[in-house]
Amino acid sequence: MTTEPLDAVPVSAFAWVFRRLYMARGEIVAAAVFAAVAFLVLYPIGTVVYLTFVPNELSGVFGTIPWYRAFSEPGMLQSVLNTIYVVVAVQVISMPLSVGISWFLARTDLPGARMIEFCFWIMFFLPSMGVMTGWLLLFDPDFGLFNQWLIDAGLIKASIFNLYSFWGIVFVHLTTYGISVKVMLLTPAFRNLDSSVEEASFLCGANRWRTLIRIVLPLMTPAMLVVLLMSIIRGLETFEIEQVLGTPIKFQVYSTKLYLLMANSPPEFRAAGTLGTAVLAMVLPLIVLQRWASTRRSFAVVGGRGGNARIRLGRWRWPAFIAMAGGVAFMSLLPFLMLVAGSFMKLFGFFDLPQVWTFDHWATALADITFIASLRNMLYLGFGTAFLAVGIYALVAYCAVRAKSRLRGAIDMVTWLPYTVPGIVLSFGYLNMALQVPIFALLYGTVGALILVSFLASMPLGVQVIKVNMLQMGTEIEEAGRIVGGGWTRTFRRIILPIGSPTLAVVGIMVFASTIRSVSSIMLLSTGANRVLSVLQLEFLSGGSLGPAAVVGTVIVLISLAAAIVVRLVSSRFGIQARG
Amino acid sequence: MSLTPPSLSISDLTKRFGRFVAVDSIALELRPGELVALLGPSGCGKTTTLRMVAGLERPSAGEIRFGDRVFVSIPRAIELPPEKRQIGMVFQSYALWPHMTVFENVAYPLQLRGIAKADIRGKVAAVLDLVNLGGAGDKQIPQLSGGQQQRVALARALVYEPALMLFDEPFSNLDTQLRGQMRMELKMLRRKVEMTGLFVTHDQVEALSMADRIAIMHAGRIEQIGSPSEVYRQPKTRFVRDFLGRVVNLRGTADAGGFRIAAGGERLAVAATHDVHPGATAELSIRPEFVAIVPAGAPDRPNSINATIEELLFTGDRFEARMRVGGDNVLFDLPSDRAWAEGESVRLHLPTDAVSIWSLEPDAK
Repeated sequence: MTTEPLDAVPVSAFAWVFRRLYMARGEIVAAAVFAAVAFLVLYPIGTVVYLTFVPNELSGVFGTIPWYRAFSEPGMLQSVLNTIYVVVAVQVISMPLSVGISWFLARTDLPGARMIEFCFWIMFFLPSMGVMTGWLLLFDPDFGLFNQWLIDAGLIKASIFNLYSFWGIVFVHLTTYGISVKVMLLTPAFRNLDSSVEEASFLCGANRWRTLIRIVLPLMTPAMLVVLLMSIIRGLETFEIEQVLGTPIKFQVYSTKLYLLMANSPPEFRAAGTLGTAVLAMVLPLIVLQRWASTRRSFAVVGGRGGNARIRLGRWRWPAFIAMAGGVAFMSLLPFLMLVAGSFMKLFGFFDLPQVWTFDHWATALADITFIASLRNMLYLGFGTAFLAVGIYALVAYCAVRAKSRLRGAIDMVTWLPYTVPGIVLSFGYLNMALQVPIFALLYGTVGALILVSFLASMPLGVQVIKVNMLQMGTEIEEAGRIVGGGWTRTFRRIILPIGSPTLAVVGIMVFASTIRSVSSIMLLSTGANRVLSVLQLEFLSGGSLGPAAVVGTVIVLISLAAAIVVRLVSSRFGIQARG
Repeated sequence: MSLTPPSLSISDLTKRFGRFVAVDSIALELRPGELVALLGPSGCGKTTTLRMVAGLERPSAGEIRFGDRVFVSIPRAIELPPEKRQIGMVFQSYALWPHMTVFENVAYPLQLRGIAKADIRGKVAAVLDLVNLGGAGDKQIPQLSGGQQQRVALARALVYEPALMLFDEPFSNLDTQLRGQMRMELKMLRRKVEMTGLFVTHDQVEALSMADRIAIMHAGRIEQIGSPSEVYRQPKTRFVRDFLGRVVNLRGTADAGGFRIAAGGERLAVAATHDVHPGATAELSIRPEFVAIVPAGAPDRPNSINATIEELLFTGDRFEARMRVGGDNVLFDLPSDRAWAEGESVRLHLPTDAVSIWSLEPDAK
């Protein structure tokens, strides 16, 4: 028991300084957390932007010249324009579709709405490369089943839908995250809308359609705007779809172009830096807009209480169900089945061979040293990132929520920053960092480098989920632990961690799932030594080895599905909002 | 019983949040065994004061001592963390730990103190009995009602016999009926357990009925400290007068030892005046329950004035009446055992020692 004598003699200067430091310990920890996160996020971005200011060795000119030179290089400007084309096409198609689907799921008496919503959630978890591989079996120009059937049936002469095309790329975007993530976010928003606003409109004499257009959609506008901006920003993440489907037809988006520039020998750092900076500049206004839209008072959030009466679809009930369930099955189940089938086919896509089916690909893969090494690396990467993430996100989230420090807001801000940086730009930054900072040079070529980048890439969402949970927990639960006589560490261990453990488990599994399927954020840091399964799959796909690609894809998809189901079970059991 | 427990002493305590001054250099002393209420509207600084005593908030300036121990002293750079202050606290939200049973919640503080398992079992059972929760130890927290959760929170705070108890709006989450019951139980508990305590509330009934003394806070300062009847009957400031209970105000002019009503000019003798000089515009204040109302024509008492019933609302056990007195409209309750009528004239008797006069001059406080 520390007892302080009431009239203490004046203390020594050293003791006084020590007491001051001790009183400031919270501030010191917060500052350390802020400095560490800020360094890990801002330094790599800084190296990318800095590259655009490096004077040209020949002319020594500083400033706009690198920009001019970089963008006069063939394909640079085109790649940025192509990126915009893809994003616009995907959003123009997916937005109205998603709004419609969410409205049906949340506001009508559609049968099996919860199940269909769950399917969209699963779809969101499916790795895009696996889905793409499945689609190739159907829509390849030469052997795609769908095209073959139509030709055999004499309906068409040549294949009508070729996945290796602009619209093929858009199609794969739509069927992976393009629609699913919007439905996941919009359906709860529609559900929270108080049904009395609709009923009031009916009583005023408006029909369902008029009510939807004049009342429901305007009320939902803020939520829809946030979701739209979020999916545009996320859309800029993509790399692997364009890399596989665009490269053969020389269709480059900025991410594949950046990769190509770095694959040249010698790598064109300056041009890549300029491209990365241009994309960051493009994202910036979107981020500002999204922050503005999501902090603005949104009327859609009023709900939660009040009525939740559903609109009766009447005789449209079952047709709507069939359309909805059929669409979901088409988008998720079909490519998944195709993918699995493809992994067992002697020659991917050829159903007319004497012997169609084989275990060869699986047998080869499981015996292959590269496959085994990549699988092992993937597990290291997934579990390593997940464990690192859970521990550090919890600490960072705690600081962002509870730190009695002026830095609290700054910590919150900086953890959210990686969200604004496309994965490939971030890993490009880390590549630069490896050349400049010795510690990171040691990491280069190891799984550790991939873990670090994946850890940062998942940070915005992960910290957000934990933060929400900690805010729900309230401060008094923790304060009670202190008052009754427990120190901070004991309270954190005995009270905060046990109460938060289901959330931490969910975050860990989500990080695991998104890490093992991601390619864009680790591609530039990938070497032969630290190659993971997703990178191996991309190599197979790019090299036209579709059978092995299907095997690898099936493995990743199955692990992702298992993770998705575990997340669902844990969060429904403990009532966690596992959404960002 | 051992020696008298040490007392809490707060001096020059200040808390600023940015430029906002939440607590403005207050001073407060708790005598041993005394229960003091911090009463005030939300945002007056009462909860911040309590949290600084608990060690959950660091003061911007000042000192808090408990007996011969310094809890916190900003000038001397001393701060005892909450876990070393040996205090008990009942939180507004109860702050029970949902992953532990009732028993585990109450036993946790004892475990932290390294008490033997068998002793823990005995102590927890005793304290659960004390709060009328005997046998509920195995229950999960979400299974309990609000009142039961309240009792667990109380048991958890009492079990390690802290020298100082803090209550943060302890009954605000309970419904009115349960609140009354818990007030009564806590009052009875104080006979069995000796405790020095500080509690925060915005509910004047709670403060008046439970506390030995009340400190009324407003805008970060303590406006008045005194026994419940003192602060109720002899408010020192206009804020205290208006915040506690109901008050009826009549405008008029002060003169030596009396008060003349603005319209009508009737004169009343008064005892207490606040900062008023004869001839000043002033208002007369009285708690409505001290006013005796009789029909006009009934035998008259000194210090009575005329009033007219303008509107009557029947509410079952009584009437609510809006009356005109001179130029003012005031509200009174009338007993429902007699039929009153709108437009009826009545006499109001204002006992001399129940009225006070407050200046309405522009420079008055």
